[in-house]
Order: sequence, then structure tokens, then C-alpha cells
Amino acid sequence: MDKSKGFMKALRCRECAREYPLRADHVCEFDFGPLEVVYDYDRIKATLSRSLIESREKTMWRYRELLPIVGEPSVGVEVGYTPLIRANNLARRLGVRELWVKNDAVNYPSLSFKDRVVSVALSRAREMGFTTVACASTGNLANSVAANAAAAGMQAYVFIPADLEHSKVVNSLVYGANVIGIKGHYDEVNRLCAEIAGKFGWAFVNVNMRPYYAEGSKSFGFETLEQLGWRIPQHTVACMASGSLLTKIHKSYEECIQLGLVPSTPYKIHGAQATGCAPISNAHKAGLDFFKPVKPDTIAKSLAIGTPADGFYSLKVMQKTGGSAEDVSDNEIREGIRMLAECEGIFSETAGGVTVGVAKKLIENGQIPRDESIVLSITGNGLKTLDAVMGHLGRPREIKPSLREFEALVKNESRGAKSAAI
Amino acid sequence: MASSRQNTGKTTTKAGTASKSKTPTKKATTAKKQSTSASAKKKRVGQRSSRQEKSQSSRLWLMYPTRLITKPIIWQLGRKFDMVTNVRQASVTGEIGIVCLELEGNRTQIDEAIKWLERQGIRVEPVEINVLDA
Repeated sequence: MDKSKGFMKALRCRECAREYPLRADHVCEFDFGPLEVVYDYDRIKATLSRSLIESREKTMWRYRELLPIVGEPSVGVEVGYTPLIRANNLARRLGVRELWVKNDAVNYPSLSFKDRVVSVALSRAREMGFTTVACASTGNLANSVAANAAAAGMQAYVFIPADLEHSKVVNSLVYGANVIGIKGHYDEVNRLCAEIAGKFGWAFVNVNMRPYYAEGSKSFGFETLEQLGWRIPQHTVACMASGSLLTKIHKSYEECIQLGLVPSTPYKIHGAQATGCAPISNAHKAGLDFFKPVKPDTIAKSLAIGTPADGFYSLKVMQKTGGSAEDVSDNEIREGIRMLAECEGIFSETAGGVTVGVAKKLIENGQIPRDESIVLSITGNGLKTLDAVMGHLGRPREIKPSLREFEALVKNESRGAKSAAI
Repeated sequence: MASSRQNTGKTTTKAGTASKSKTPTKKATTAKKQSTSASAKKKRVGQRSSRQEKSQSSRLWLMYPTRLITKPIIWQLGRKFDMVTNVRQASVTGEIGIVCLELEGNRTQIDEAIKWLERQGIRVEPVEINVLDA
């Protein structure tokens, strides 16, 4: 075994398949296609087994042979293995037989699935000798980089649009990261960040570390399969921002089939977007294999990417697995958040409302049969997007400090409930 | 971005260039430099002030709306800004044109060229596409 590579073989262009050394790089020199990590699956197969995985700590690193690090993880060692819960109440509400919720709203430490990708990127960055990490983000990614870098003792630069809501900035500032607000519209901020990433010798998690970073999402899929008792759900619904999560869930399922960890059974992966930013969903519904960029206008800010980098590959995955794509309005997103909270006690951010809302639509229009197994991917915590539901949940009823008044209130309510039942 | 990763085997050619190849290449990964003639007489933007600046290259995805697909935008860009333009990948359908372009020039030229492209109605993204993540 080459100790400098671990179980990885090379970086490979997803377009032309040219291979590159395992360095901090993300674009093919020939056609500018994105690079992806490829592994030595024969060696992994000879090493990895269900029993070995099950003997390890309950974190995402129990699948470490399939993650792009050489040695032991050094950042985010507690990340992952979030609950997969059997959502019977929500199943009843949606009228389906078998429904599961994979809940990354409680992922450690920053309460979103981004902790998976960031801990992989930072662990890899550290073993490559980087001491400064960076990212450009409007939300969860920024929080996760700031938190994980702080815990790892690494210097972090977080670039944000200067007009970002203060509540979101606080979630990065608190960890002591260097938070830099950039004035300008989205495209200008985007281009400047790409330039900064190219100029400074930092580990920019979603730029030069992207091939490693993106692989972290696979752990979401590995855990789902293991927690289901080593089987593939017939339907997985994943929200799409850049589309990376959906493609990596697919990759994780395929890797587990290839390694003999799960039997090969038919499955479909469905994509969920907000109607106010649905380039991938629109393209899929129109039967196109390319998407048209859009200007985002949705409360689902964590999915608001108008030109999704993995949009094309997401379309391919949905096409290949026979999955569907749908999108939901802001009101349907709020309804999805509420439904998940009321039925399962899980308060999801807006992206989760998108996933639940889209699943409901796909069930109602028959694209997800009611008697098949379904997994919903919940990617972030509702406490991060309180603004989205504020003012839409009613207000607490108020009474004077009087027992009599409270008794009257209860009486009125039970009377109201009875008449409603009649 | 809806990139030339969107290539579907549909007609794919160099979008918006001045070249009029009759045979569309299936997947245009050609690297044709389209520098303009040094003797071009037209006024070139940013030329004087920026000549002394260091030359650099910028890797971009350009997305053409339908109305601009047939326009020789890259040829115009090269002439107007006196820059080296190098198409690395491209895909054209009836609705959209996508070009992966390497621009070589000084900082001022590149900035002005991008602004000009945006004024024409072309969406310009870095090669990484959405660096600014959610």
C-alpha cells in the first residue's frame, strides 16, 4: 500500500477521465472539467467488511476507507452517525407504509450536513500541510468551517456577502474566524472568491479542496444503508443546492453495492428544490439534460444556488435511477417544516421543508408508490432559519395569572374540539 | 453551471466565434486561440492604462442566452480588449450556448471584458461555478 495515498488512487476528471496526482486541485487542465477522487476498490474490498465497520465508533469515520484521507481523521472526529428514525407519524400523515428520516439537523458540531464535508476537507488539508482554511458561504458552510477550524486550531477565513443577515454572521464570528464581508452582487462576490482561492496558498474547502470535500457527503448515504440494516431504500429524497449531495448519495449506494456491503436492489433518487430556485428541477421536468441558470428568490436560502455546479450530474443521476424532481413554493416549504416538527419532533431548516414538501408531492402524484420504502434527507437545523417561519405559526394564547382563567381556556378548547369532531 | 458538461451528443460547436466551420465538432475541446490582429484599428478599451500591468489568465464559463448564440461574441471580445481568448470546451443547443473560456490579459482588461460580456447579456461564472456556497 502506498502510504502517501491511503486507499485513494488519483484525482480524475469527470469529463475526460484524465488523472492527476492527489494534490489540492479541482479542475482538469485540459477541459476544465471537475476532478473527483478515485479509489482502489479491490484493496478496499479486501479490507472493509460490515463487521469491521460495525466494530468502529459511531461516527462518519467508520467508513474511512471510502473517504479521501490517508491517515487517521484529525478534524471533526465526532461528526456523523446522525439518527435515522422510523417516521411513523409522518408516514400516516403522508399515507405511506415505510418512511424514514435521516436527521442531520443534529449533526455535530454546527447542526448541518456540512460538518461531514468540512471535516473531510479539513482533515485532508491538515495532512497535506495546510494551516489556513477558507470558504465562501452564506450560511451552513461558513458556520461549519468556522467551528471545525476552531476546534482543530486552524486559522479560518470565511468570505460572505457584506449584506448577509447579521444573525447568520454571528454563527461564524463566534468561533473567532476571520469573517470578511464583500460588497457587491452575487456574481462579483463569487468571482472574487474564486480569485482569492487561486491566489493564496490556503485550503479553500469548496475550491481547491473540493474533490475531497465533496466526498464527505457519501457518509450520509453509507450511514443510511447501515442504519436500514444494510439495504438500499427504494426511494431517497434529497434536496438540491449545487446538487452535490444527491450525486454523492448515489455514489455511496453504488460503492456499497460494488463492495458487496448491500445487495443490489432497484432504487430511485429524487431531487427536491424550492420553486424560487429550481434550475435542476425545471430541467428534469422539461426532460432536458441541461439547466438554465436562475436568480434565486426563495426562503430556502441554503438551497439558493442559481447555477448549480453539480446540476448536470444530478440530472444524470435522476435519469439513471429513474428518480423524479419536484419543487415547492415558500408556503409549501413552511408546511413541510411544520409537518415534520408536529409529526416527528424534528425542527428542520427550510431545506428540510423543501424535502418534506417535495416528498408529499411525489407521493400524491404517484411517482413514489405508497407501499415502498422512503428515506427523507434532512440536512440542517430549524434554529438557523427562524426568520422563515416567524409570523407563520400563530401566537401563544395569553392569560392573567389566574387558575380560573386557565380553566376557562381549557374548557373552551375542549368544547371547540368536540364541536369540530361533530 | 449548465456547462458543456451538459453535452448530450447534440450539435456542439464553438459558440459565438467568428469561425464558420461547416462541420460541427462533437465535443469541442479544441484549444483555438483567437487573438485579434495587432493592426486592428478600432479603439481598444483599457489598453493604454493597462499595458504595463502583469498579464494573467482567467478561466470562465460563459452562458449565452438564445438571442446571442449566433453572435461572434468571443471574436468581438478579442478585438475590443486586445486579449488572447482560448476556447477550451463548448456546447450549443437550440436554447443555450455554453463556452469554457480562458482569457489572457492584464487585470484591467479582464475586469472590463467581464463587465462588457455581462452588458451584452452573457452570464459569466468562474470555472469553479458556485464558489459562494450556501
